Amino acid sequence: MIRKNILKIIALLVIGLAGFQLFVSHRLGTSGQRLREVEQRVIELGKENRLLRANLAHQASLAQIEEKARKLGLEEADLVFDLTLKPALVQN
Amino acid sequence: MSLETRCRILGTFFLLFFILVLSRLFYWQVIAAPRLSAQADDQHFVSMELPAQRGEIYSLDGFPLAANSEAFLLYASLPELKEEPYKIVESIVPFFAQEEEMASVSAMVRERLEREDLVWVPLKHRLNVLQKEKIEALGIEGLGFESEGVRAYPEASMAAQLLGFVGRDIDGQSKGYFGLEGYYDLELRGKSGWIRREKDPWGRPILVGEATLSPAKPGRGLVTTIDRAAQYLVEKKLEKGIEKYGAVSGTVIIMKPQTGAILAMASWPKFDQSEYWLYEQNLFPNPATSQSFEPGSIFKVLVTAAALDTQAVEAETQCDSCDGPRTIAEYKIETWDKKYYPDSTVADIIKHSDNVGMVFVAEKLGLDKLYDYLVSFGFDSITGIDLEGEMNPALRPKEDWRFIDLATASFGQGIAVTPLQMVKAVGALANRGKMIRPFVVKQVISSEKEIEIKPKLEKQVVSPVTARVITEMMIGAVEEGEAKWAKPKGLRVAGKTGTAQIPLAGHYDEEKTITSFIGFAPADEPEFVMLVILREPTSSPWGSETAAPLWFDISKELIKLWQISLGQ
Repeated sequence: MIRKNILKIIALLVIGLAGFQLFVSHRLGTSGQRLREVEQRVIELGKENRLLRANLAHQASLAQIEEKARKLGLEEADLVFDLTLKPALVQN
Repeated sequence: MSLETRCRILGTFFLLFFILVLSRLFYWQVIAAPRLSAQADDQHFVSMELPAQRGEIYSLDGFPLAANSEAFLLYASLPELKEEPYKIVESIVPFFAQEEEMASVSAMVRERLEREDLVWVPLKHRLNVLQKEKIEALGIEGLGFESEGVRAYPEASMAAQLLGFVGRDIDGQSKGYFGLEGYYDLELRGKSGWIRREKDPWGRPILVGEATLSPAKPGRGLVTTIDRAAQYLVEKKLEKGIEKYGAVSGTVIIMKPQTGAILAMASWPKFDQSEYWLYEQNLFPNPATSQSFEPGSIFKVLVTAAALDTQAVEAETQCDSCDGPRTIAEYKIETWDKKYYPDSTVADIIKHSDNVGMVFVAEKLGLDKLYDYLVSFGFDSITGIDLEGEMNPALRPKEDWRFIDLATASFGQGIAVTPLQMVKAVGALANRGKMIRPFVVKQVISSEKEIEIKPKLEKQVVSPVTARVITEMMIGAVEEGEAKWAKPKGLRVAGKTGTAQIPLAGHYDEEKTITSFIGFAPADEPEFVMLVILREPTSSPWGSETAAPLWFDISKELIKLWQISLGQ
């Protein structure tokens, strides 16, 4: 009786594992399309990332900042005081 | 026919058939094996190159000066075109051609669209996203886009000659040329990888199939010593200075004397690295390292430093031959303003930029020692900076020097140097006599490690005392010399003006000059050593009226930028 049950369990396990292997193999074997799509997406995102980084750097460039500052009406300071210089003493 | 004969015939037939099968098998398995194996591989495997990203170049503040970006190639699939070529040209060319080149670009595009021997033609490289979207919106059948990696320069043509550019080699591979791109090409380019894996009948990868991968190794990034803000303002000031003084070209170099770090290096005219092919090739080499010039009076400080260091003269030694022009062989040596100062001290000679006085100093020094110091200051070799294309103007062998050569070299004529050689030599005076090798890249970075590049001390070229004495003389030259009017208030500058004639087929040009100013500030604790050179200025031939004011103009901005304390 026990032997019969063990045989049944083994048979079920063999059938189950074979089915599982078949399922996994099928899934993996047919995932190529999805893998290709993911890889393509990674490449596209990489390109987009590089493009955005270059655009960001361009927007933050000194020439751009200067141009935008001028449009906002900012001007270079003509007079600069150096506070590290000793102030002139009042003469008696 | 007997049975035996029939058996023989049958046996022979089987033997021949066997030989035929064998030879066919030999053909498939031995002779045609490599080809068939490759065909099988093609059917079962897909191989791809994994391109390596080129390393980026950063300024001192980590801002990308040369980055990687994407652009688009516009192409046409000729059999799919539905519209007439002239109509397509009219629609697309205005999106990427300038007004002045419209006709030539239109003709080129039309010629390609009308080709009958091709099915696929490239129309325009390096389109940006905006241009691509506008052309796409036209919905012209037969036109398409392919993305292509390009080098981007966020600060446009800033430091163009210093950075260099990326072009193609004879195999069509990306390659860096000139400047940093050329010098560090192997570091920057990285190593391409590849992948080979099994594919299904539709060309899709099989996840559980055989696969071999050699990952791409991206190029290393370079962090430079270039101060972006300083570089920006120097380029602007230089361009304005060239316009103001009517010069043909100009160069500015700023270096930290204690470390040799190049903080800014600008030349004008320059070129746009992203469209380098539109410019003359003579603009590509960096004039700061690849062009020589006769330095003129800025050289006097080095000759005097040599004379002081060997104790041939002292600061207070009086000149006994400074009361008039000197005649050496058939040559007459005069002062630049025809004024003579009898009994001048060596300090006065520097202050007045006295050519006759310098001949006196050089005589005291002697040819052997002068030559030794020229070698010691580095005028017989390249500076060793990490930029491609550095040149070394030959220093004539000592045996070829005559007395007149000693005399003219004392005031910087008859000897050729590069601007960077001058900065390195004067940098040693600013650094208590210690000569440091100039450098541009301070860090090489990759995903695995960061390599710090440390300043390199080369030698003690003059004693600290000599450096101090010559510094005082240079301060005197600025405070009381011809350029004192341009000096910013409160800043102690050690400097020297220079005006050199331009050699021209065995003689000197009567009118054209190269003007210069070299100096460091603040004189006591220098934050920078700077050289300004203007070639052939037309507003004035003198360094004191052209290069010196530009030097002081730039230094005023540097004081603000770096918040340099002016002290008392």
